[in-house]
Amino acid sequence: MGEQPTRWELEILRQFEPVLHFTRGERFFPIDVERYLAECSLWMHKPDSPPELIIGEGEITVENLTAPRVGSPGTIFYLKFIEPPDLVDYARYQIRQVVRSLSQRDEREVFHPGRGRLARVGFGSRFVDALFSMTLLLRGRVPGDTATAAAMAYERMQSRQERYAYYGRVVRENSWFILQYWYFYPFNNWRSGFHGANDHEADWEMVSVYCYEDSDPESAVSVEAQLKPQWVAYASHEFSGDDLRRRWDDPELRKVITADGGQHPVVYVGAGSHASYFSPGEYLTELELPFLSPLVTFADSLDAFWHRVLKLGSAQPEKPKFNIFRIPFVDYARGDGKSISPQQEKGWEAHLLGADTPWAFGYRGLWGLYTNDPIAGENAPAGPVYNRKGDVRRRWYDPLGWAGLDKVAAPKEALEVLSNQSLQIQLRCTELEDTIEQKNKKLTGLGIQEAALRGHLHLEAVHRDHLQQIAFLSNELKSLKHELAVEKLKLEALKLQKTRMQRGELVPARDHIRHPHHPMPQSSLLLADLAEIFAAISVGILVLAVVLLMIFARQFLLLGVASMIGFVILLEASFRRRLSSLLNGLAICLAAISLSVLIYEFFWEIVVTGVLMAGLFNIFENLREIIHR
Amino acid sequence: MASARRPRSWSIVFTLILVQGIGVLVYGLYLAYLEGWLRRDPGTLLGRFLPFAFFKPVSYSLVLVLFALLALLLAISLHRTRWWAWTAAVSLQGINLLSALIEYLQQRPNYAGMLFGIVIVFYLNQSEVQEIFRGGRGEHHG
Repeated sequence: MGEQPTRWELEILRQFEPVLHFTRGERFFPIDVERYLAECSLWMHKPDSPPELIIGEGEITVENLTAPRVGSPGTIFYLKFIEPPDLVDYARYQIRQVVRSLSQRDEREVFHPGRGRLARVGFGSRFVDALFSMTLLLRGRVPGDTATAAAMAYERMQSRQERYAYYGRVVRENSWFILQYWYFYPFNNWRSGFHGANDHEADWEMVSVYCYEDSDPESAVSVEAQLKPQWVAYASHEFSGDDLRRRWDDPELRKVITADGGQHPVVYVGAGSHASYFSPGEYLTELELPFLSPLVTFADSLDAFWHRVLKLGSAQPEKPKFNIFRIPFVDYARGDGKSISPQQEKGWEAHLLGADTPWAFGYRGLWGLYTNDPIAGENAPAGPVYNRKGDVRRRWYDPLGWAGLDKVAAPKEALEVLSNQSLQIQLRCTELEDTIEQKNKKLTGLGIQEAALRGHLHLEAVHRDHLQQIAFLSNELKSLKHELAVEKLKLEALKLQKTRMQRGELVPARDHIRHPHHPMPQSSLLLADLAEIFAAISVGILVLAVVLLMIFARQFLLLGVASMIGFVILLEASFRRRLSSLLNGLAICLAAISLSVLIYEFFWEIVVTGVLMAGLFNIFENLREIIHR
Repeated sequence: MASARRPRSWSIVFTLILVQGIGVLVYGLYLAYLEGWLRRDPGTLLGRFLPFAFFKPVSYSLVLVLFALLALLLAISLHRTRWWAWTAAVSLQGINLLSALIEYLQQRPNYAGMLFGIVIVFYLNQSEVQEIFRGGRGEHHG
């Protein structure tokens, strides 16, 4: 954390700086924090008190932002980027947007949602989604029109000077050179712009490139010329671990190679959410609400019981499973909009992020509006170093562990690590063999003594003690021998791995990925347009029908509601080509209920039959043994 | 596919549905014989449960015979591994279990029907059985 950025670090960052592809309709692109701060005011939120202005708009400097501040427990400091827009400006901006969207010139800037999340998920999920939308009325949230006002402010900033910036950091850890590219977006309009989960002021995203030094220590070539990229990890929502990273030779990772020899990973940025993806497409992302967590866990456990314990259901690799109690949102990362790459005239402006970046370390508050949202989705994030609670982000203090690379050796040192491991295991094997030999001698000696003591009544206590010692030592020997066998197997595996590595063979590039996040297929719906309309209106119509039944035919309320839900579910399952699964699910439920009825009605008969069968089986087995003797 | 070596679960499903079909057919014909062959019976299961007048005169024995014929047809289709047979078999067992549960609630329990339904649904959900019927439908079970 205390490293001082230098010139060579900037050169390394330039060499691998990513190419960002956005989706049509994206309004916010990475900018430098100075221009953002110039538009912000600093506020303090204390529990049960109205927000208090600390520094007014246009007065924030790095010095006064990072000045030490002490607050009572629960106090939150936050920046406020957007004030309610001026009505005339707002109207003018909206008219300009409509004209733009109608003009052919800007068609490439207009977002078309296509087939949305509602048509892709089940009725149950849509019902939960409707509840989630209603919670927005109760939760703290970014006020309406803020996104438009933020877009106006952003356009104003860019019209003065069009610049796209990232903040780069170089960290050395375990022979890895980790290049972190931090992107700051002034606003996340995923909810209001792209039917996503949330809106919030300020958004920090990050891409990491993991390089190793492929050099001769005696060589006069500079470090940056000898760095070879091996892994890339893209931040995507709150995920972490192995699934986040791709190896440099993985075909899923797209790259742009520039004339100067630079290699640049391609990132597809989620519209509004700014999450990063390796392939273009539309990604289904699930959000779990805290109060639905027990139901989510229950549904996951049932699924695991069905597939893993009962070993029922399809054996082929399935499409991603969705839990109806998680709310699905589509993250559009189509890559069909604007791109920012090093080759462009208006390419990246690189800033170094290090110990001499005071705003990164000195300011622990939120980088945008604090809305008091208990789910936190609408609250702004903190900076690149800190979490919302003020503690240090894992991706900052543990960039290797964040992408699951803490267990992976850099290629240059892998052979050496492997040899060291082999040596250690070899030493342990020798040690174990010596110990086993000693203990074996001791055990056989005890065995001889025990045989000699047997039958002597006056030595009965000593004999008993010997027997205990023998049992203890025998167990100890068993464990040691088992350990030795395992160590020898490990040694063989390491030898094999060493041979492979010496031959230059790599493990498959995607072996570490457990749950790959693929874009959703486009053409899985039957009568897609009709399905989309049906998905959009079905929950609302059902609610209206329930109201009508309550008013006009209350005696048929239960039957009516059940019939309508059944009809909607059947129709929708047909649209989604899931009729067969639905019917199977219903049959399974009925079978489970029937089984409970049978157990309830015939509990003792079942117990008696079970015991009887066990007894008969025992007799049969024993008789068979006698007959075949 | 039909001539390939069939998994045991598949043979069990086929046999159970065949036995179920024959059993229900025999029982339905016996009831029909007792009723005086398709004599109208306003007190049938369906007539009591469904709120439509159309079902009231339908004889219980006729329903059973139809169910049995469907089950036999399905057994043949399963044997010939028709792509729709799996879905149809699951649906038929769903109807069987639903009617068995309704009969149970009406104090006319059909435990044998329940047991058959449970076992058949269990075997229909074995992955090796699902694999046989997966091709050509563009849909995943389970």
